[in-house]
Amino acid sequence: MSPVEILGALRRLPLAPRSILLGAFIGFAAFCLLGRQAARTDEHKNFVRLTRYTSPETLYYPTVNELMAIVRARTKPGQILVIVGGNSVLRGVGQPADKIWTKRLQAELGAGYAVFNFAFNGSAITDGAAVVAEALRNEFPKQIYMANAAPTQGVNPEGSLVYRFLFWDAWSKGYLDKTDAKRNTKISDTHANRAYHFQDGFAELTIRDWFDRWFYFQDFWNDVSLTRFSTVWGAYMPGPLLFSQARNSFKDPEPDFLNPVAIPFAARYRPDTIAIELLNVRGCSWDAFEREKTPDGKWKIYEPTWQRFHEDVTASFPQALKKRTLVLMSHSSPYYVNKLTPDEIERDGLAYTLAVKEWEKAGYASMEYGKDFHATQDYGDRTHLTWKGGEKLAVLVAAKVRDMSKELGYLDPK
Amino acid sequence: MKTNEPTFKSPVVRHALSLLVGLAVGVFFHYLLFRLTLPVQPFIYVAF
Repeated sequence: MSPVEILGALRRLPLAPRSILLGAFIGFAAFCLLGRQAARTDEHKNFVRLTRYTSPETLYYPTVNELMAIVRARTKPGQILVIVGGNSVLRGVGQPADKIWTKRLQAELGAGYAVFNFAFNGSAITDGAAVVAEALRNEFPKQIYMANAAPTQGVNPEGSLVYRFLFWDAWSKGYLDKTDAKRNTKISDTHANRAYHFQDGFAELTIRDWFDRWFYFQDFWNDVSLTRFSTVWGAYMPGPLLFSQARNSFKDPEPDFLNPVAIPFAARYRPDTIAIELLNVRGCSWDAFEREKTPDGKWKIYEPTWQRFHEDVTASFPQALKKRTLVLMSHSSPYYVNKLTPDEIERDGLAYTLAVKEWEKAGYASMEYGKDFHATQDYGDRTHLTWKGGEKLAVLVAAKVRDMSKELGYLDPK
Repeated sequence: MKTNEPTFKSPVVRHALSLLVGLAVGVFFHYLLFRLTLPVQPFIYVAF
């Protein structure tokens, strides 16, 4: 029976049009209400981090409400909220869920803190986790947000192309600070280009968030996808027919860098990609300085890069949230850095030190890590840490978080 | 005039069935909003 025949058969049924309309209204309204309920419910059982099954890699787009619900369900009164964002490095790629660095961070910090890892693969400092932290700024005023970045890496206040959906989800629902003049100007400048609105699906995103503000279909159907069945096929699903399984039924698939059976050393440090990886390492400081050293043997900063960087970091977060934001500068593995020339090694180190100072000058907390880590035991590849490296990072970050908590007055008895 | 169109003897059945059809339409439309506004390209990420 073709769709036309089905419609024809339905039309011949002696149905009451007004009752159909009433039913459609009731059905739609009921699901909108269920969506609002789902937005307040945490369905991420045993949450450790966002996996590929709960991220855009498999066309699963978590909502800001969904991530806020995870925090609310697991944070006890009086705890200091620590939200980890950033990219795959802080998400713990190559670290199995039971050995992930944020678990160690939680253990280091103790019961006075509640640590959440909302990092996404390939995401930027202002992406998803930053949005969740900002949305919870009044509910959890004792909070620290952290993310990682490379020196002079550009920052867009609304996030990167892939993950800006969370920023606009929160923005359209009124969860973000819309009064910060510098950030507003930066966003307006980007949007002044009309073409921006019709590129990379931004128009669809705007429409989706406008409707979702009222109808909560994202929260409802995400809830269904997580707990009952999924209707969205994803290229990364483990099998062509497994897409319909509830996303909660999949285990965190992250392998262990230090398990040579799962990931042989030659797959971590591939001889055929050394040249490309060295380009990546050089790229961390390439545009930070002039091409050549000055006659007296010093690296001179390249002003346009730092000017742009300064403008970026100034406008990327609301002023009031800067001091509780920790920016981690992730060094590349010494395995590659040590293959650079002595001058390049010097330039690489300087770029990190200067970037930390620039972030601090703009009002953030910042620190670099990894320079003295073991090349292959602590680093799984050029940039990601093994769980052993993650343990070292957790110890360093915990000390910084405790210092920040003290400076921010979070430890003062009330 | 008699026709071959099916009829329901009870108006209650007629309205109940119509309401059920309407409910299905409403739910479908809610799902459609979710599905049609979802990006179609997955984000491909390869770490190693």
